[in-house]
Amino acid sequence: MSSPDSPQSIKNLTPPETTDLDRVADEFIAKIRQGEKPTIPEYVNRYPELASEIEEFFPAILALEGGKYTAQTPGKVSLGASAPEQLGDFKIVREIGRGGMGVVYEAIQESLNRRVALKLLPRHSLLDDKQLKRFRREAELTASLHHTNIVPVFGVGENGNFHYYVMQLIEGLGLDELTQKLVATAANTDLKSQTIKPGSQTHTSTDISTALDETVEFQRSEISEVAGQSSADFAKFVSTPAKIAELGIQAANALQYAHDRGILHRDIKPGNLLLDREGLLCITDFGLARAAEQSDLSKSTDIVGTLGYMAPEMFRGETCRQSDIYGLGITLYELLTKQYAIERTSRHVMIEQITHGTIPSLRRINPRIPRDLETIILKAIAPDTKHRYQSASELASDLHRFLENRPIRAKRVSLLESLWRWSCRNPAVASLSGLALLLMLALGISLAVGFERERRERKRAESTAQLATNALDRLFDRFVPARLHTTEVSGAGDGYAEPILSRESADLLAGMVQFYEQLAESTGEQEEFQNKAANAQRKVGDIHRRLGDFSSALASYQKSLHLYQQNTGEANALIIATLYNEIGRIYRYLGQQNEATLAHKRAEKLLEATLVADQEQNDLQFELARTFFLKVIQLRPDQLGNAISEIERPSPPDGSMPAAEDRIQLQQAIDILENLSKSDQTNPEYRYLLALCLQEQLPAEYVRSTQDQGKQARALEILETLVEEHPHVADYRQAVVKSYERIDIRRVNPEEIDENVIGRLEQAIQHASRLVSDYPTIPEYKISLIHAHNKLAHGLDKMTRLSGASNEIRTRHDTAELSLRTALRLQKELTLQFPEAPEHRLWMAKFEAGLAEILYKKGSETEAISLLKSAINILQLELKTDPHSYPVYRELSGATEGLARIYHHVGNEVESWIMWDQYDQLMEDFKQKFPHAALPMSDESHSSRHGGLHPLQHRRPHRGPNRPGPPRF
Amino acid sequence: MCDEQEDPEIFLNRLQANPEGVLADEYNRYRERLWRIVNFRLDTRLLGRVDADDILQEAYLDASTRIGHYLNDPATTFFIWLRTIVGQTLIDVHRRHLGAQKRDVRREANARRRVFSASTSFQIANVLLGDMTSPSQAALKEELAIQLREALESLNEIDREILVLRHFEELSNLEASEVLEIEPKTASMRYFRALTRLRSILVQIPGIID
Repeated sequence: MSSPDSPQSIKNLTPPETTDLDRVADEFIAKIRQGEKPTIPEYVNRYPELASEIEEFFPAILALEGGKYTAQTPGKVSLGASAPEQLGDFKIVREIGRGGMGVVYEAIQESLNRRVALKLLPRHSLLDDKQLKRFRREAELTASLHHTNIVPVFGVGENGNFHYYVMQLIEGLGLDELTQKLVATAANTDLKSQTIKPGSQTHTSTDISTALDETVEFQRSEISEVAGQSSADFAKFVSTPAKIAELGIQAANALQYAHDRGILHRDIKPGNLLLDREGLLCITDFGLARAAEQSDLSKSTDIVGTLGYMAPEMFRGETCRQSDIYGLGITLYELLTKQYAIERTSRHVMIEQITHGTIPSLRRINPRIPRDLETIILKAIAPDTKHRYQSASELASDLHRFLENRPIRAKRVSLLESLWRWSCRNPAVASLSGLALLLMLALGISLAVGFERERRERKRAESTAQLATNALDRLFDRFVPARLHTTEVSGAGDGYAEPILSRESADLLAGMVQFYEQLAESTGEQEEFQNKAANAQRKVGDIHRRLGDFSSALASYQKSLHLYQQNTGEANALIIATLYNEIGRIYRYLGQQNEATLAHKRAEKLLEATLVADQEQNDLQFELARTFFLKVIQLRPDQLGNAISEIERPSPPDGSMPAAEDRIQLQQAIDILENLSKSDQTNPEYRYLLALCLQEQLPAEYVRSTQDQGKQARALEILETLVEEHPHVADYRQAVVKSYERIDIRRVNPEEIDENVIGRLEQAIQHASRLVSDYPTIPEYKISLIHAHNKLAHGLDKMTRLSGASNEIRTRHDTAELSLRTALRLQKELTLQFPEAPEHRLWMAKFEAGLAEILYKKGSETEAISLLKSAINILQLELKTDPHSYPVYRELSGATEGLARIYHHVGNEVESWIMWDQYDQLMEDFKQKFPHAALPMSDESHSSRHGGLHPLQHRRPHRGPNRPGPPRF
Repeated sequence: MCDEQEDPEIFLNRLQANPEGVLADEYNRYRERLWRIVNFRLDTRLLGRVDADDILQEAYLDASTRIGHYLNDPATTFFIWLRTIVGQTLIDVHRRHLGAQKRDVRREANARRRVFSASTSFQIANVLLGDMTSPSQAALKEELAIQLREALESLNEIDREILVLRHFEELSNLEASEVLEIEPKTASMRYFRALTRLRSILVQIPGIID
C-alpha cells in the first residue's frame, strides 16, 4: 500500500509494515546460525533507523537462537544434536566424520595419553540387549584382528547412554573422499556454474546462500588442514591403474586374513578403506554392519552411498566372503573409471540395477583401462557369487599377476556365456538391445566356426548352438510367459511375473526370431527350429498386441501361422486354432469384423473336427469356449477405435444383448467352462474365462434384473478371487477393472446412480491405477483407468443434477474435476504415444470439453474457456485430415456451442456471436455430408445452471431453433 | 532460504518424469532441515525409543507412496509438503508410542495445520535454558524450566508456533506463512508480535535476557 507516511511514522508502528526489519532480522539470524556472534548494539549502530525495533525484538531472537547450539537437553535422542565432551577415559577433541554407523571423533585417551579414533554408535541401532551383546562380541572378535591393513581396534566401551568403539587414529582419509572427488571432477563442470546461478533471485536469499556456502567450504578446508591433509595429496595414490591395483592387493590381503578367521566385513566400501599419508591402506569397521543390525540397510534413506556397494545377494539376506570381494571390486571399479558403478538414483532403481547386474564394463567408459585389470574387476563384481573370486587371496594374486604382466587367472567371460548368465538372471529390458547385439555376434561367430572347421569343431559348434537356443528360449519365455494356454498351467503359479514390455523390446525380439531360422539351417534340424521360430513369432505378436500395435501383431501372428502350417503336415490343431483366434481378435480391434468372424469360424471348425476324435481334451474344449466367447464379445466403449465406429454400429434395439445365434454360443461356452472348472479347479484360466462369459450375458449399460445382478455378483466374485490368488497376473486384475466399470453412464437414469455405482467405479479406478503404475507401457490399462475416471466424473455430475445440498454438489464437482484432470493427463500421454491414432486425440478433446463443463459449473470460466478452445483446436485439425468423421463433427459442434454459451455468460458477446456463427456453419456442413443422420441431441436434461442461462435462444431463434444442450459427455 | 530458485512448473515436470529419483534428491537436499524439525518436535518421553533418523526414514517411505497426491495437487512448495509428511509421521509415532492419552478433541481439530507434538513449550523452555549446565545451576534450572514453561503456555498458540517455525524449524517467513496458511505479511507481523511477547516473559526470568 502506498502510504505517504514518513519513515518516522512507519517506525512507530508495532509491528512494522516495512520489510526492512524482516531483512535485517533474517541477516541477524543467519549470522548467528553461521556461528558468528553478532551483538545488538552493533546492529543498532548499523541500522539507526530501526534502532528501537532492533532493541525490541532482537533480544528474544538472541535467546531463541543462542540457546540452540549449546543446549544439551535430554530430549536430543540422536547424536547429531549434541556431542559429549568426555566419555570415561576419553576426551573428545573433534569430529572427524560421520556416517550411517555413527560419528567418529578424534579423542585423547587420558590414561595412556594417546590419540585415538572413537566411534560413537547411534543409539537407536543398539537399543536392544541382544544387539548390544552382539555388538560387544563382534567388537571383541574384531579386536583380535592384527593385520597391517586393518585398523586396530582397542576395545569397546559404554558411558551413560553412549556406546563406542575405540580404534587407532589413522592420519589420512577415506577412499570415499577420493572417489567423490574423482567422480565430481570427471563429471561436467558446467553443472556447477549452473547451480550457482539461480541464486540471484532475491537479495536476501543470495546474500545468505553465498555466505552459507562460503562458510561450509571454509569449515571443510579448516578441518582438513587441522589434520594436515587434503585430498590432493592423496590423489597420487590412485593416479594410475597400477597404483589402484596395489591398493586392491592391500585390501584383498586384509580381507583374506579376516575371512580366514571367520570374520566378514559386510560393508566394504570406499568410506571404510582409509589411506594414510604413506599410501598404506587400512580397512576399518569390521563386522560393524552386522553388529549394528543394519541388515535392513536397504531401507534407510541416507545409505545411498552404502547401497552402491552392496552385493546382489545381500538383498536376499545372504552375506558371504564374496560379498566383501564384491564391495572391494566396486570400489576399485570406481577408482578406475571415475564413475559410480551404480548410478546414484533412487533406492528402488539402484537395487534394481544391482540385482539385475547391469554395470557397464570398464573399458567402455575408459578404453585405456588395461584389459586384464578390467577382467579382474568384472570377475570380482560378477552378479552371481559363483562367478566371483572365491577368495580374496585369489583376487590379490590375480592383481599381482596383472602388475607383473603375467597372464591372469580370471577368464574373460565369453559373449555367449554372459548372454546365458544374463538370461538366467532377468529380462531387464534396458539391456535387451545390448543382448541383441551380443546374440548376433555370438551366433555369427559360432556359425562361422561351425562351417569352417566342420569336422573338428562340429561338436563345439553344436554345443554353442544349443547354448544360444537355450538362451533364446529362455528369453522369449521371460518376456512373453505363457499364461493364456492351458497346456502350461504352471505358468500362472507363484513364479509368474508379468514382463515389462516396450515397443523396443518387441522389435528386438522380432529381430531375434531369425536366429532360430539361422539355427535351423546351421544344424540341419529344420523342424525343431522352425517350430521354435513359429512359437517365437507368436510371442512377438503377443507383445505387439499388448502394446496396442495391432497391425504389427497381425503380421507376426500370420507369420507364425505360416511357419507352423508350412512345417508339419499334422500341425497341432490346438496351436493353429489358438492362432486363428488371436488373429480374429486383432481383426476385431482393427475394426474388420468380417475377417474376425472368419478367423474365429476357422478355429471353431478345426477344434470341433479334432474334438470329434477325442472328447476329453480339456485344452481343446477350453479353446473352443474361448472361440465362442471371442466371436460374441462386443467392443466396449472403452476399447480402441470405438469412437469412430459408433455411427456404423447403432446400438441394438434390445440394449446391447448379443444376437440370438451368439447367445446360444455364449451359453455353450459357459457350459463348457462350468464343466472344465469343476473337473479342474486348479486352472485359473477356466474360471477367468467363465467370469468373462457370464459378464457377457449381462446388459452393458446397467444391470437391473435380480437374475442379472446375481450373475454379475458371481462373475465379480470369481474375478476377485483370481486376483487374490494371482495378484501378479495383470489380465485378471484388468478383468476386475472392466467388471467394476461396466456401466454406460450415458444410458443410465440419474436416479439409478447411487453410492453403489460410484463405489464400483472407485474400485475400478483403484485396480486400474495399480495396473497403470505396474505396466506403464500397456495402453489398454491406461485406457481402462481413463474411462473409469471419466465414468466416475460423469456419474457424479449426473447425480448433482437431481438434487442435493450445495456442499454435496460442490464435493461431487470437485471429485469429478480431479477425475477428469487425471483422465485428461493420461489421455495426453496416449496421444503422444500413438500419434497415428486419431481416436486418442478425439478423446482428449472430449475430456477437455468435459472438464470445461465441470469447471464452468464450479465458476472457473477462464480455465473452461481455454480448455474448450484447445478442444476446438484439436477437433478442427482432425476435421482437416478427415472431413467426413461423424464423431469429430459431433464433438466439435458440442464444444463450439459450449464455448459460445460460456462467452455469453461471462458477457463477451462478440466472441459468443462468433462461436454461434461457427456452430451454424458446422451444422450446415454436417447436413450436407450426412444428409440422413441427425446430430444426436443431448439426451440429458440440462443442468439448472445451463438451463437458466439461455437467453440465447430468444435472441437468435431463427438460426438455432433447436440448440442442443451443453457439451455432451 | 537459499533453495527456492527452481521454477515450480519445471520442478513439477521433473518430478512427474522421475518421481522416485527427484524425491530422493529433494529429500537428501532437505534432510538436514527436516532432521532439525523432527529433532525439535520429538517428545522427550520418546527418548531412547525412537530416533530422528528413524522417523525421517519412515517419512521418506511414506512420501514415496504419496507422491502421486502431491502431483495431483501441488498446493504447497515441495519442502512444505515434505514437512507435512514428516509431521504426520511424527504424530503417528507419538501415538504409537505414547498411546491415546495425548489425543484430545481440540488437538485433533488442529492437527491438520499445526500437527506436531504437544510439548512445544517444554521444548522451547529446554532450549532457552540450554546453557545453564553447571551443577549449581541444575537445581535452579529445574525451577526455572517450570516457570518458563508456564509462561510459554500463556503465549497464544499461533505465537508459539510461529516462533517454533522461524527459530527451531528455521523456516523462512514465506515458508512459515505457507505452513500457517496465512499471508506472508501477516506472518511477519505475527512473528514480531510473538517476539515482543516472548521478551516480556523472558525478562521476568533471570539469566536469559540480560
